[in-house]
Amino acid sequence: MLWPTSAGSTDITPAEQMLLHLLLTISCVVVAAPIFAFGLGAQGRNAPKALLVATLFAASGVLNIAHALALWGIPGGGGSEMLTGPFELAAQTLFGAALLLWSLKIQIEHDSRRRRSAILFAATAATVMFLWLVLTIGASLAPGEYTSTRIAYGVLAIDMVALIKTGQRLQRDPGRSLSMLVAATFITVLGQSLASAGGDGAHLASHLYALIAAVCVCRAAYLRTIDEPYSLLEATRCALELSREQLRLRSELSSDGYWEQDQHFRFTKFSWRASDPTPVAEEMLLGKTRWELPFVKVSAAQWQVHKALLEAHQPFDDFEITVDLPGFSVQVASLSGRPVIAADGTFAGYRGISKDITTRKQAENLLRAQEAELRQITNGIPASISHFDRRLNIKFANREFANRRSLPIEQVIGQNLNYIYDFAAKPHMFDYCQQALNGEEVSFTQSKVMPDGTTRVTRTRLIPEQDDTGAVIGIFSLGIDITELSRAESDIRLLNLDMEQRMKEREFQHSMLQTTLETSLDAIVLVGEDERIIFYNRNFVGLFSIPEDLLAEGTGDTALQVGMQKVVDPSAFLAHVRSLYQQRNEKSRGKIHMKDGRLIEMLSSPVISAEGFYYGRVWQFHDITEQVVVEQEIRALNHALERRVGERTQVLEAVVKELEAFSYSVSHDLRAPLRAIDGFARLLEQKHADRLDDTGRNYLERVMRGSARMGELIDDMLFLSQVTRSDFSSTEVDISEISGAIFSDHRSANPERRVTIDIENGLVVQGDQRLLRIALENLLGNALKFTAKCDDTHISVGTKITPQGRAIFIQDNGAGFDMRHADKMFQSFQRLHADTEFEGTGIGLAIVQRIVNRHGGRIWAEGLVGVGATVYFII
Amino acid sequence: MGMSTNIDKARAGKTILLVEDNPDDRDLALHAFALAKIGNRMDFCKDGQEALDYLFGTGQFSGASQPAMPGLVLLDLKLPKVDGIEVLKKVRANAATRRLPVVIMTSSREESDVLACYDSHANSYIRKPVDFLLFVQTARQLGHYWLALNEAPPH
Repeated sequence: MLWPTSAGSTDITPAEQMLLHLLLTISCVVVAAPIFAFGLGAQGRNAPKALLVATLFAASGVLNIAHALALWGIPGGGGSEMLTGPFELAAQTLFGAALLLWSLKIQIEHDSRRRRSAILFAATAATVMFLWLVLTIGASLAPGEYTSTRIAYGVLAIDMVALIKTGQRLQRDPGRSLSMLVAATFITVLGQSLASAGGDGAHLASHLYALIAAVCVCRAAYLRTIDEPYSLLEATRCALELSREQLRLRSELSSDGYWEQDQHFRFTKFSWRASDPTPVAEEMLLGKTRWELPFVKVSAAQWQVHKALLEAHQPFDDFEITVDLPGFSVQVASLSGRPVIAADGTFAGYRGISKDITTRKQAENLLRAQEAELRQITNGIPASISHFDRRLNIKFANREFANRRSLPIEQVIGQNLNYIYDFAAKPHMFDYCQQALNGEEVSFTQSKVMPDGTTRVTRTRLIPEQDDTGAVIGIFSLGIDITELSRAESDIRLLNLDMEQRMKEREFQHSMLQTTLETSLDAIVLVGEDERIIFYNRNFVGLFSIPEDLLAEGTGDTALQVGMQKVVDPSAFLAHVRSLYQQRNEKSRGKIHMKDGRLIEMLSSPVISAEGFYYGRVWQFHDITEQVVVEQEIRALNHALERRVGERTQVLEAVVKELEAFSYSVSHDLRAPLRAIDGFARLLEQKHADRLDDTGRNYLERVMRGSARMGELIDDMLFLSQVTRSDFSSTEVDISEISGAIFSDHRSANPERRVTIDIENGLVVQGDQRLLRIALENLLGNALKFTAKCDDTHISVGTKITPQGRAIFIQDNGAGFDMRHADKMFQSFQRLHADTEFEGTGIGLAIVQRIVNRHGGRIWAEGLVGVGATVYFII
Repeated sequence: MGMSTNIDKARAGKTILLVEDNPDDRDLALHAFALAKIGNRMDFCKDGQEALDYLFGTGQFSGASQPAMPGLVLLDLKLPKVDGIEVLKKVRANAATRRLPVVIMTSSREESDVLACYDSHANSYIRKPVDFLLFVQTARQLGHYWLALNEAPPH
């Protein structure tokens, strides 16, 4: 039996039982409350299991209270065993369940308090209801204690399993304190359950024991809740301590010094590595600002910048100062500091480190000096030298490199090569660099147009820089200006071409010359400076009949010996030739009489270079036998001709004189009888007309007309001869002007005629002014004469391009003429029109033709009857 | 006609000497001058020499028979013995006859003749026209011009 079945069956009084149960009930509440507290406390941390355990414990406590109340007659409770039993058993069951859940690490997800409460309530209620139903049904089936006892053992079995599992869990889990207590509680409950079977005394004792155990659990749980944050704090402290130790060790082992300053930048702390030989002690600094220290040397400008930074409470890094203490070597320190901001947000000073960088500085200076020296040396080299790292940043460049890019050297160093070359525009440059970075040595030539317009050609070598392992760590670049070299190369190439060209020309000339000499009608032989035959042509062989093998031997003298045999006077010939060989600059021209009767002209000229060097002599032989004969003939013919011309001239002169005399005579004598005929006929007509009949008068009339006509003819004939004989003086003659004047004269003489005249301006020819005027008078006179019957006369004077050349024309729209008779027009006294139609003797165009002939020109006419005529002439 | 009277007066005193070898021409000239109403006395010389004698009072005209200085000499060029040009030259070479109006009246229109006459200071050069009517007209104009209009050099 786990609990007293009835009041009557116990030794203690009901009042005592009532008190004990009341105490137990209070104990249950006291136990349950901290357990709840633990559960709630555990909520904040990631401990859902502990929470569950705690809540189950709480439920167990509450059930114990209910058990006590049910046993001892809570008003309305009835003290029914039917109620106490299930409560007791449910409490035990839930207790075991809690342990099992913990030991089996079953996770129950929960996210809200309400849900947790619901789970708890449901679990508790379900357990109670289940047990109550079992007990009630069991009691009705088999009355007595049998059912309740069996269930009690079932619960005990659950609790035993929970115990075993908890034991297993405890072996793995190091956090023992809570687990140990839980185990102790369990054992207690187990003991309680066993003891209750032993009688009321033991039952009571077991309850007491459970109370103590519960208090212990409660305390353990509570302590754990308290202790946990503390232990965390402790762990943090330990870690801090460790890091502090590490920091201390680090600062002690590093070469850095540590310092602190207050808000006025006065040193409050300064530490230096113990082993450091720096004689700067903390007491030299304390209470002073950095710039108040006499041994700290910094330029005024740098101080200014530094102070401004400090005033602004800004962090600073690598502020370099020079420490110059008398008696010690100068040292360089680099300071870095961070502002200290107090908890309340105010500026509390600076804290920082100082680093001794003397060695580094020295190394840097040395490096810089070396680099300067290197630059000094390389600047003198007329080649572009540079050095890039793997990222193609220029680490070094000499002046030539910068000059070629027209950049100051300061702008080049540190720049990326892309800035210099613009890889986007010159991808090949980037490719070259990549090849070099792959370990190849690259060479390339490029030409570049400089700002001044000249083109520079550069040969560049990229040499990879390798470290000890052979990895490429940079590129050395060497650019040599090969402009002059390439120019010289191209010059040579041009010269070669020129030379080839000249050689070809020379060959061509040579072959031309050879052919010319070979095919020359003259016999030609070229004798060198050493009097050896260089060249002879076929005619030379023929002329002197010298055997060719002798000539091929080439001795001039041998040939001479043979040749002289053919000459009439060999000794004189020999002497002449020899003397010419002696007098190298002499030219000679002479005649050789050959034995066969031929006469040869011999020409000899030295061949002398432009520099005056004597190459040899050219001998040229020309057969003039025939020429001489011909010349003589020509001379004789000339003589005969001259004589004949003289004779002819005399004859002609006589003829001319005769002609002149004739015309003179005609002029004077032929007219006199005519005058007499006409004169006396008139007198007859005037004075003796009455003695004549009409027929007689008609005859007289005809006599007079005949004489008048003959007078005109004689005049014209004389004029014609005069035109031919008159003097000729050539000047510039303005045809347009003369034509204009003639027309103007005509217009004033014939105002009644309607004539349209079109004269082209500027018709100027070279000729005799007087003769051309006569010609134009005749031509224009004709035009006016043959248009006399037109109502509307058009006459034009102009020029026209004809197959014979530029001709002047006179065109009219008059009577015209039949082209079939065009050839007769210019003959003397030829007329194409009847006297009755148009008057005239027919001498006009003959005169014009003579004038044109005297100018060496041409004249012709075109016409169409009834349409007009055009006379063309070219002078 | 006062003018005409004056001219007639002036004409009256002056002889015209015609030097012409051709009798036809001489007659025709005479007729022409007559038809032109030139009433001056006309003397004739049939060759150059005679003309020179006439003017210089030599030969047949020497001494008392020397005629008065004519008012106008009409000189042909083609003359027997001494030709016209020669006569002209001599006339011009002599101080007494230097300014005597000499008009060349000839058949020729040869340029050489014309030039030679003017070079020898002929006063005028007239070509005898074949047409007689024209000749009459010429004679009239000649007489009118040289004997009336023209101011003769003072003696």
